Amino acid sequence: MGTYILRRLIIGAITLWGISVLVFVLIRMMPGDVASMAQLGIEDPKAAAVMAERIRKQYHLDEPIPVQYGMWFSDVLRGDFGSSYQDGRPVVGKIVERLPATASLATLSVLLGLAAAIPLGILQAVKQDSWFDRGTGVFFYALYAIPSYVMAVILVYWIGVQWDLLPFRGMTSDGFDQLGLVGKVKDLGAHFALITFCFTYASVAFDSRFARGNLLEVLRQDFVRTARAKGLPERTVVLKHAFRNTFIPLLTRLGSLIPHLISGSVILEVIFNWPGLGRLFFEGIVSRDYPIMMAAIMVSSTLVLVGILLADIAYAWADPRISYA
Amino acid sequence: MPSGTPAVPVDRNPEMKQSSVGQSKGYWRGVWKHYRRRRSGMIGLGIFALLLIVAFFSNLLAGSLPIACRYKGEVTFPAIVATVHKIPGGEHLWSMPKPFRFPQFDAKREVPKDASGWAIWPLVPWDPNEVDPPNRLAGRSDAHLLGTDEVGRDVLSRMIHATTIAMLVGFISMGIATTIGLVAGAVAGYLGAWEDIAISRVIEVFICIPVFYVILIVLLLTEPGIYKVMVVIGIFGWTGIARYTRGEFLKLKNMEYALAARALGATSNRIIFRHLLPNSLAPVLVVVAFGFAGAIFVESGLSWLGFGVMPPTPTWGNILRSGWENLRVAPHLIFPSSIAIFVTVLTFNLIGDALRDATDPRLTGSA
Repeated sequence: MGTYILRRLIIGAITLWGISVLVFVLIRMMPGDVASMAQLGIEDPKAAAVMAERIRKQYHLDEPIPVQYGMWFSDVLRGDFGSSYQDGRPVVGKIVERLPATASLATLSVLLGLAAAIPLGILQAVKQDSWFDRGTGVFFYALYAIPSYVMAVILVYWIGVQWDLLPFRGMTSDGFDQLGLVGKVKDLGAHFALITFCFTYASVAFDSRFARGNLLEVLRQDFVRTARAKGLPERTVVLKHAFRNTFIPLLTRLGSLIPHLISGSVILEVIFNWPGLGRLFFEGIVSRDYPIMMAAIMVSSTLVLVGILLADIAYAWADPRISYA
Repeated sequence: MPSGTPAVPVDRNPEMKQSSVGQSKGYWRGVWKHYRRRRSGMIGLGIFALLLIVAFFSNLLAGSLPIACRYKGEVTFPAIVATVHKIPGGEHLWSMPKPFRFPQFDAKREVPKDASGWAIWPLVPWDPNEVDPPNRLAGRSDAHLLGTDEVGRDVLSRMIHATTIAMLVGFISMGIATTIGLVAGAVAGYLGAWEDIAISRVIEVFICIPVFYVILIVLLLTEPGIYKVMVVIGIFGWTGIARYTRGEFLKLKNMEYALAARALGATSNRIIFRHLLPNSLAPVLVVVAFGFAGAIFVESGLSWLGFGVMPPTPTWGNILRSGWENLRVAPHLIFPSSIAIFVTVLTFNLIGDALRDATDPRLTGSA
């Protein structure tokens, strides 16, 4: 197991390095950089050229691309992703600052999503082909086809604007600091409600059908018949014997869900003005902030790799038949 | 593993076993037979056909050019000509009649002035980019069935013309993705060896890259254009297709008929394109159907962020966006575009699922 993880980590590091080269070159080859953007506001062409030259020098944009990459790479090895072009603050600091908003949302979303999807999936499988199974099946199928940004716009309109029930801008209200503990929790809860729902409904729709399908497959197997034949109550058969065997596909799914939740949140974070990573990366990309762009790509890619690796390790942990010797 | 799977072209068609005389009905007819049984798949196909019709005939449904008219003694068909112009090379087939060719010519004002003339107008007599300034952000009315947007353009007309864009997004991006994916998957699966290793590595890198960010970066840093988004989505969306094609080729290349073709001295090209590709296409088509939904999903999202197909070209995403920006005054903008995006994504999910069941030998009762 140890060697397996080590080998995977090494391959993962090489993949990450490949991605960094690819994206770095891609970004630098594109026309227009932060200097040419700063030029836009200046009318005198000479002053503009001087200004652009100075900015290029400051950020080493006048060096050849391989040299620039070397500088960036050696900094990254020391844990330094450079400083943002927008405000000169270190990128790592900005990411750490934005992480709680995104991570709390992602954790909440995964937990709530599974808490809703697994029982629903079990119920659907146990009552296969009943009106409940068919009804929820059609409903979830349709729900899954609604893009989260569409859902967000409609919910904000009805619940946020029309009925004025829940806030939809940011994570806290103005004057959050003056609130008592109960007030703070209430305020956070209200702000979390809409964005968490928009984040979660699609995975509930997908995962419940996923859990249902897996459970149905297991329920057809011989050991389930044996369990029933020896007179175990149906509840024990389903929950203890069958359901446990559907864990593995769920773990894989979870592994692919986590990176998606962290980096795939651009539009929702923009809609809800959420102070998270997605919006930081989006704003960085829009203002051609190279260090932020690179950090965005590297953080997201790393998360995908870690997610896949964790799923594979969890695989072996959950199912002793799987070994990576 | 390949030895356990049935010989695909024969065994997937159960009727073959009964009729020993006559030619095999063919793989695709078998797929269609199973596909047709699924009502949801047929509904999806129906909506897809409808979307294609709206997309192609958008100028006849909505626009400021008459479908047929008599103006200054001449009978012309400007909107039909505009439709023909949508076909690549169509400009050479039938040129736009004279006054209608000029952008400053206001057909809606000029044509009725001709006392001896007549005209048949499209159902929605507004061009998607024609402004009606007094009616900015107006709600539903007889003149504008779905209201107007922030500069006074007719929303229904924009919705109809956005259908064309959505279908273009699907076809162009999936066309590019399918071409790259099929070639890469076929090469990796058929040749194996170092080609397989190289292509599999590239696919792995693409899986780890946050595609949405990369698309955003590329779109932002290059010149704007209508087709750019579609091309970029295609270039970054081929890996799923390549993986499936590779898997199919790994399975098929050792089948009896492929070996027989090789024994007869067929070239690799012939085996790949004549024998293996047609048989690996159906499972790949499932991925393409879902990809179609995904491409429209992504483009609408990018349009929402302001990075999709560039305004003033209408897209469902940018209509939704203008609804979002004017949420308090003009909620009528969000519902039509939301429904259009939802229905289109749903349609391709339905088609993809039905196609998956129809091509799955375990479900078609032939395994």
